[in-house]
Parts: sequence; structure tokens; C-alpha cells
Amino acid sequence: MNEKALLEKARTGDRKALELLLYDNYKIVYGYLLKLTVNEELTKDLTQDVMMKAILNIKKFKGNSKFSTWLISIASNLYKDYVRKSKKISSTAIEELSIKDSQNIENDVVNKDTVNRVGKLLRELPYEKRMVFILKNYYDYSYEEIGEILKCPIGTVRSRLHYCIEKLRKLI
Amino acid sequence: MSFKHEKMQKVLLDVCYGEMPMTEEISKHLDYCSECKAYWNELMLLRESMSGFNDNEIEIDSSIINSAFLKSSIEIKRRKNLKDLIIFSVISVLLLGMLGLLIYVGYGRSIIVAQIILMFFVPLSVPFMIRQRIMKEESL
Repeated sequence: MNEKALLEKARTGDRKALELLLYDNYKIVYGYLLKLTVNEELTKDLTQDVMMKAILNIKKFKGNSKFSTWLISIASNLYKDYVRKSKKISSTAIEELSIKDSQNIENDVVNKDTVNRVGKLLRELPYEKRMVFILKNYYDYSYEEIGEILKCPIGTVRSRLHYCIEKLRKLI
Repeated sequence: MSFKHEKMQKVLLDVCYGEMPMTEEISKHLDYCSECKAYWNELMLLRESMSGFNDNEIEIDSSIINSAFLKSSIEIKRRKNLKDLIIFSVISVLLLGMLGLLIYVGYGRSIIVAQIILMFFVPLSVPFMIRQRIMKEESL
């Protein structure tokens, strides 16, 4: 069943359809939040909150964008709220990051190293700029879509991306 | 860095992220401008070195989705209770307000008398109502 059909069912209160949609988009939400927070525990909490908000507000989702885009926008807002509330995010957990790759141990070590290195670089970026960079670099959203997700003008999106690139060029 | 390079590098950033196509003009510029070429190569290198977070490797934790459903059902119940409480409060305030207004206008004594009558006669009518019900059941 395609996303549109599932969405229509979910809007009428079909729990199974909504569950399927959430399972289909779990990796995107979790992956986005993991890159944003670089903290696995926080990512789990925020993922759960995103799912909860989606369940509560599914009837308000008109389907103008992809379901995953809507979830990403919820995740961005929740992370913004979290940052505003906590002001500083604990600097734990780069070491705790665990992207599981069960191929072999060597592969695992290489992958973790890469994730740790990339995670450290991402943490150097201010969170609002980091969001733009992640959405563009990893999810290939257009400037327009990023602007809609983060509720900011396209010019701001472009300048934030430019800032991130310049900062990362210096760091790398 | 000259203004021309700065402008071109912004264009290159857009090209790198697929916002603009790689036109012949840009391509030619890259061929003769070493500064912009170096910037382009750096962009490519940066994209490559920032890869590594692969969402496909993430395992789905169904407990997160299940607890989201659980939490949302609790939240729905909480919202319903809150809504009921608000409705109850509004109706109570309206009724009390009406009662207060009637007392203020001068119907206080009549209201008390009506209440006393109700308190006495409603319980007295209960056996009568039970009898009626039994008769109805018997006739069926």
C-alpha cells in the first residue's frame, strides 16, 4: 500500500496504518536526530516524542508534503525546544554512539570511527546551522523544502549552509 | 578573494548540492581558475568525508513506537478529561449564575420552597415509579 493510502487510513483512526507509516519512516527520523544530537539516549527520547506528536496530530497533517518531511519538521521543532530548555547539551555520548554494523568487527570499528569523527565535526556547528547542513548534505532536501521545514527564508538557508561549509573546510 | 571568485564559489556550492546545474560556463571557469577549482575539489572532499552516517544501518526499535502509542493514548485521555472538566465548570458556573440572578431578582424564597418540595416529593415518587415499571414488565 502506498503512503497516500496509508495516510488516509491513518487519518480515519486506523492504528495499523499509522504504525506502518511510523515504521517506514523510523530510520529517517532516528538518523536525522542522531546526526543532530550526536547522543543516542537523547535521540531515542526525541524519536519517541516525534512519534507521539505525529500520532496526536495525524488528523492535522494535510499531506502537502511527504510524511517523512512532516516528521523531520516535528523533530526539528522538538530539538529546538529541547535546546532552548536545556541551553546546553551534555557533552557525553560521542563515545556511546552506536550505529550497528554486524558485518564484522573490523568494519564496525571503521564505521564507529567515521561516525565519531563526523559527529565531532557536526557538534562544532551551531544547532540551527547544523540542521540546514544535515538536511542538505544527508537528505538532499532543496533550499525551499529546508526553508519550509525550519520556517526560514531561502536566503537564510543558503547563508547557513555556506557558513557550515566554511567552518567545516577550516576544521577538515 | 576577489568578488568574482566569491560569487562563483557560492554558485559552486549550489551546483555541488544540486540546486543548480553544472553549466558549460561554470565548467569552463573551473578549467582556467585554479582558486575556484581548488574550492570545488575541497567541496567534493568535504562531501565525501562527511559521509558515514548511514540511516540504513539503524535498527528499528519497536519499543519506541509502541511506547509512543501508549503515551499518546494517555495524553488523549488527559486531554479528554481536561475538556470534560472545562465543560462541567462552564455549565456549573452558568447554572449557579442563573440561580444567583434569580435570587438577586427576588425569587430566593420561591427557590428554597421549590427545593424543599423536590427533596420531599421526589423520594416519595420512587415506589410509585417502581410499581409502574413492574406493571409494565408484567404486561410484556
